[in-house]
Amino acid sequence: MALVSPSLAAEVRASSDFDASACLNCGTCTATCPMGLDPLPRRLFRYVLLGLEDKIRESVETVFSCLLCRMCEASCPAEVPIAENVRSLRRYLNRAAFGLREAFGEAGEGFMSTEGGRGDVASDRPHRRAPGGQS
Amino acid sequence: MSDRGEKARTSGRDRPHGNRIGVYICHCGGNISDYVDVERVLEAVKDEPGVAVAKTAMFTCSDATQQEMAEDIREHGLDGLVVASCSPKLHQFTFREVARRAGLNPYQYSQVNIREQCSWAHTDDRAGATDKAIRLVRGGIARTRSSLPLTPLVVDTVPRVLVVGAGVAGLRAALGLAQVGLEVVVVEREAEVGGWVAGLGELYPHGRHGGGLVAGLLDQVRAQPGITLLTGAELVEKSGAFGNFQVEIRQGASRTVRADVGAVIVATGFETYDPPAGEFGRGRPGVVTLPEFQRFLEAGTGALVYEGRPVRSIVYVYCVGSRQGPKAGGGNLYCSRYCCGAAGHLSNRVADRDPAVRQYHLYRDIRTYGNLEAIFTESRNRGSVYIRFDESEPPVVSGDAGAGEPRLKVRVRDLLTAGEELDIRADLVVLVTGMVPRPNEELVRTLKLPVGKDGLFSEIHPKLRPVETVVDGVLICGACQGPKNSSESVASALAAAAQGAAVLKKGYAELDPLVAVVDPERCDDCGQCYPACPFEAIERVPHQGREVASVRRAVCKGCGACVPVCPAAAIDLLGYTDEQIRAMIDGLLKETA
Repeated sequence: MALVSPSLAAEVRASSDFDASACLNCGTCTATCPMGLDPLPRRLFRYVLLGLEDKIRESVETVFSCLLCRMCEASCPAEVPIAENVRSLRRYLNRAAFGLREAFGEAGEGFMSTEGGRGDVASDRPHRRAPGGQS
Repeated sequence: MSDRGEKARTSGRDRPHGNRIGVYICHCGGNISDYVDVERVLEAVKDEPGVAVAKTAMFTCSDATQQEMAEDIREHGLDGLVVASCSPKLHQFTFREVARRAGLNPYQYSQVNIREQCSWAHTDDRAGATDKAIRLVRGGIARTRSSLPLTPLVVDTVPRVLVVGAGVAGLRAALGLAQVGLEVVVVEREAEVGGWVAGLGELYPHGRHGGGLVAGLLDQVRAQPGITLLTGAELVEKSGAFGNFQVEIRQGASRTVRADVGAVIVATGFETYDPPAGEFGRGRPGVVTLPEFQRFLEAGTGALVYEGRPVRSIVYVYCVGSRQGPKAGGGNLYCSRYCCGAAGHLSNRVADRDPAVRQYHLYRDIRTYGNLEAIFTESRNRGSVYIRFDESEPPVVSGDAGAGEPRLKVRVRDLLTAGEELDIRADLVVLVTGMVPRPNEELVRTLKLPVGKDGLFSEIHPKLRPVETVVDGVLICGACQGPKNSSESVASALAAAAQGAAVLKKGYAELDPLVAVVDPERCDDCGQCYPACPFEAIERVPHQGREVASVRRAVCKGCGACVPVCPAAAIDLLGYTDEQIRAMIDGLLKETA
């Protein structure tokens, strides 16, 4: 049993580009995920919409295992910005679970969102793409 | 309306020059001929007594074959036609018209079904199927031998319609009828017109105001001199038959209005489901039905405050009083159609007033057909969360919230989060209640309205004859025949108006002549047939100084219920006379080898 936390859902929505309201729960994303990682991504997004904070924290491993390959996004019939949502969740977990905002500030947020250490912070984020980035 | 002449003669056998019947056996492109050896059928039936012409055809319904049949009818002077093909539901009308065009009485045509009831049913047994087809065709020929040239009963119709119920459907039907020049009497039980819609504000999907809609319709109705509107009135008596009913309307305690009408349109609307105390927390403060919630929203502006408490969180529970299968404890089995759209629409109005209100929709399935999908999408985009539960594990509404928290708690297992059990705090729980039939026993009895298992009035066919009932001249429309939103109710009202006008504007109606007739010489008025008739079509009439039973042809539906109960065998059903049925049985039983 989990208590629905409206404040968390509102926080994630307000503080980031997270938007999964169009998600139809069809499961195409999960079916196409090359990592085959449960609960990515559809169940994870439900956790956020419902504000199930514990469930999100339990999902740290999978959130950071995502390759951001966007296979799911290409197949999504509802055009949900899945990769961007995963990035938002990484930023949220960095802050909420690891307290990294205090330690690294804004740079830390970006740093942690490039799990896998490819090093190019901006390349993961299309709207902040750095010249010469290699995404 | 006299049918004395035909009663005396229900046998077609005494023809001066014998029968001349044309028989056509259809391949149906293979649908029949893949399993039935149609050439063998032809060989077996072409020498049956009375057969003048016998042929096979690839498609008997094709223009070319229809043309050939018509030529044969004229050339050979045929007095009977048999087509062995598909179900009469499909092509009986087609071939009756072929007969009519060629100058043969359409009721001397018989359709023999060797497709649905033979080739399709016996694909594993070609010899058996062929054998059965031979028997069926012989039966059809035998029936046709003693067929009579029947003529439809023509009744004059009264150019006036009674509309029962003055909601949006009834008012719109009345207007439609008046606009094509028919007189209309509208009877409304309540003191005010407009029904449910009159009390509603902005309606989906068109965004029009319910009260305004009704006021506009009422203005138009009042401007039509041909419409008589009676409020506080009820239909208490109906007699007569299609095209000429006599109705009696009681208005208030003292006034009685009588009118002759050609047709009756029933538009008595619906009742909203009222959940008993305890169903999904009904009875707790903050648990409201859909109409209560709508009234609450329309009564205020700005941030939502319910009973002095600010509303921060709303939970909607869908399908309350709808789709209540055995798993959910009985009740209404049908989907009420309108409630998904209505709840989505209201959640968008809540978001208009206060976008910070959190809204959770607990549903089983969402039915937002057509443009209603836009309402559902808007609702989700504006932050409503849709949570799907299973019928077998409905949400539980309780009130055990802590101090300072929203006072209601809803526990639900969310199928979309893989069965996660969730607790949601809510200030308001909206039970998205469906439509239920109105109690209308008196009206049902007076009009003999067909009532379905669900308590709603039944049309003949939901797609092919959507506003007609089995009672000729009694039409239904709006939510009394099934849940509808206001647009759909108005559309069906216009359909009923068009159907009524199509008949009444002609001034006369043709009724199927396949009805029961009583031979007055044989009838000894034992009285057994009167209660056997479900349509009260049999009346007692004087005949040569005594009383006998007589069928009112305009009322008879040709069901045949009176035929077997007559101990004197005085009743025959035209088109299905005892003689014809006996001949058919002989034809079916004749050896085929």
